[in-house]
Amino acid sequence: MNALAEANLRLDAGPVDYALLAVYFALVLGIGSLARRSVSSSLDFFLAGRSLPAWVTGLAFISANLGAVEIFGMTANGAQFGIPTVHYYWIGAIPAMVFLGLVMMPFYYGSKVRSVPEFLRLRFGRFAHLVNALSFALAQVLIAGVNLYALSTVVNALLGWPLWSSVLVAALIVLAYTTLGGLSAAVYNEVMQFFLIVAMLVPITLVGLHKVGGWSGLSDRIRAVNPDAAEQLNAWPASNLTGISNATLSVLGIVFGLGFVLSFGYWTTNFAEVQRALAARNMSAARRTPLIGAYPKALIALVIVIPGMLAAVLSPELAAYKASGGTSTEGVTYNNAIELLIRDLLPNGMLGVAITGLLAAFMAGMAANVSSFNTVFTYDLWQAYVVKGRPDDYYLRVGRAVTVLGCVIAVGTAFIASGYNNIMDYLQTLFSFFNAPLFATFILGMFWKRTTPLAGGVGLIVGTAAAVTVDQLVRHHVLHLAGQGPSFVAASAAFVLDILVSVAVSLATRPKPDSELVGLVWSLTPRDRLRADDTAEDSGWYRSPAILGVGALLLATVLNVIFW
Amino acid sequence: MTDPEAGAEPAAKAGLFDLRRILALLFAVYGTVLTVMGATVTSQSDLDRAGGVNVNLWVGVGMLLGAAAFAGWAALRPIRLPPGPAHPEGADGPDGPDPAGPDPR
Repeated sequence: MNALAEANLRLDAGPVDYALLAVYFALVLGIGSLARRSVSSSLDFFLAGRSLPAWVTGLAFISANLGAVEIFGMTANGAQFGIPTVHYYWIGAIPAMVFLGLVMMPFYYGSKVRSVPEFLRLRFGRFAHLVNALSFALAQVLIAGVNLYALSTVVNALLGWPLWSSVLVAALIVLAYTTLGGLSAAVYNEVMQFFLIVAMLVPITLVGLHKVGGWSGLSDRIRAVNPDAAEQLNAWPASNLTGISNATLSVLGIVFGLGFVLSFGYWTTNFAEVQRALAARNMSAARRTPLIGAYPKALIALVIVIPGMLAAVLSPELAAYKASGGTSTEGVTYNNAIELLIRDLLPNGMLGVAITGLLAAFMAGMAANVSSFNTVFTYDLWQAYVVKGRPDDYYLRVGRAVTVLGCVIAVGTAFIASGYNNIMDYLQTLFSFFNAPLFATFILGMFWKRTTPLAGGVGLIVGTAAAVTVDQLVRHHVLHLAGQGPSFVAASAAFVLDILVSVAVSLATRPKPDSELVGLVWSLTPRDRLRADDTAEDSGWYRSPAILGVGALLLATVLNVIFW
Repeated sequence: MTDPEAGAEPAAKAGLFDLRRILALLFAVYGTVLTVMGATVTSQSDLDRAGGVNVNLWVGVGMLLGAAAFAGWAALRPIRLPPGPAHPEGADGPDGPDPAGPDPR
């Protein structure tokens, strides 16, 4: 963010705006100290005592992902690519969330694991576990740093504070409520953040559409200045998003690369997400967590992508940037789309709500990273390998100390993020390194009992190496891919190689005996262990996971048809 | 959420820590501030930049409706603590926390 952009984006915030922000901070810290009273064991701290209702965990499930990086990255994609950005939601999230709720959650929740890496430990033993626990912990603190950096740029735009000071203040607030209340505090604040973000995005979308003359006005303005307007106004084939000019290959890239490998890897194995479902109060609520989240997830795409498109026509600066082909180094970039709309459309009062919503998103995103990092570090690294067999309150204290450590590292990594034009590229790169091979290993491990412990670990390493290799080939211009194409290809390569290597290694090594795999592998697990209670407060057809899941898929399909 | 009819035992209300009440409080405060601002201090330039829409007023009224919805939900279906050993507020399921980790294998 250069000096010129800072000056351009300074918002005209008044006393009322600051007062609204202060009300929010008071509630956040209040929730932290109230939640503290329910923390008496490490399970209370790391998994909210497995006590939360499904609507809370469901909203927290998407809110943990709806951090500022997501909002800025996806409005940026909306401004640059237009409608094809919706694939990150309707193709790139909904099917994976439904799969998680219907197929994988019974294994996670039913096996009573406290983290995703812990599932790997039970299924594959220490090798795969250590590989995953270490890479996950590293990824989370890096991403927490990205969230912090994004936050600091907004506070910088708003208050003119230097980046380092807002990084420290935000980290302190997140630190305060996550060390006090643990996951409960993080989850409650995520739900509050979700509603604030909606209260910010919906008015921006409606006012922006009103100003530009509705959907037809927006389409006309985009057609007037973009030679590739047809691609920006239709979801398919999304050649501009994938960077693949052949329409068939582009659709394949979206469906397989984004929709299958990248998104299933992210949504079904990323512990920062799955942790919310593990905090649900029983199996039924855990299965419903991603399914309930799928509905708002499908709809929120509209109020994220459309504002991005609006910013690129309503804001003269961003329109000029887009006209330059995104190459101008002066002034704003696509990442400023949402800030420009806030500045240009909203009066004082609503301005305060929008600023609060953005800050809430940053902090919630970072809190999700930190609260999953401290759990994996404490349970999967510290308790599993370093200091074993201590009483529970020892690990609770470790958890609190590690939370401090995580925040400190995140502050350090905040500056890594500053070197990239499009933050989303950076994040997708990280995800493809760590997540894509993970899904391959999980799916093999859950459905092929022959998969051996060694295959689990080797598969993960080879898959990650494949993703890194593709990334390096693109960066050094050996492979020529534009847009989001490199991350799709890297993730696909990781997935395919992980499967091939895991199968080969499995056939050459000895599997675990069947008796150790009950509850972890589909064919060896009694069906009633995977079934959720459907009586009392889990009764009713509208609480049936299958019906909720099919409904979410239908909604995504209908939306896809509308924006075809 | 907890069904009112679930559990025959006399269940205590956990009035203090219900997330729905906190959401109702948040949006009641925000809604009031925005509605008052929209009704009193909206300037012509505020209207112009939003294409003639009084953003504060509309969003404020919407937030007040949202606050009423959360408060109503919380009042209609209050959180009941599970019977048995006292568990701190925040829990509202019949299954208490499960302190057991995974079986060591």
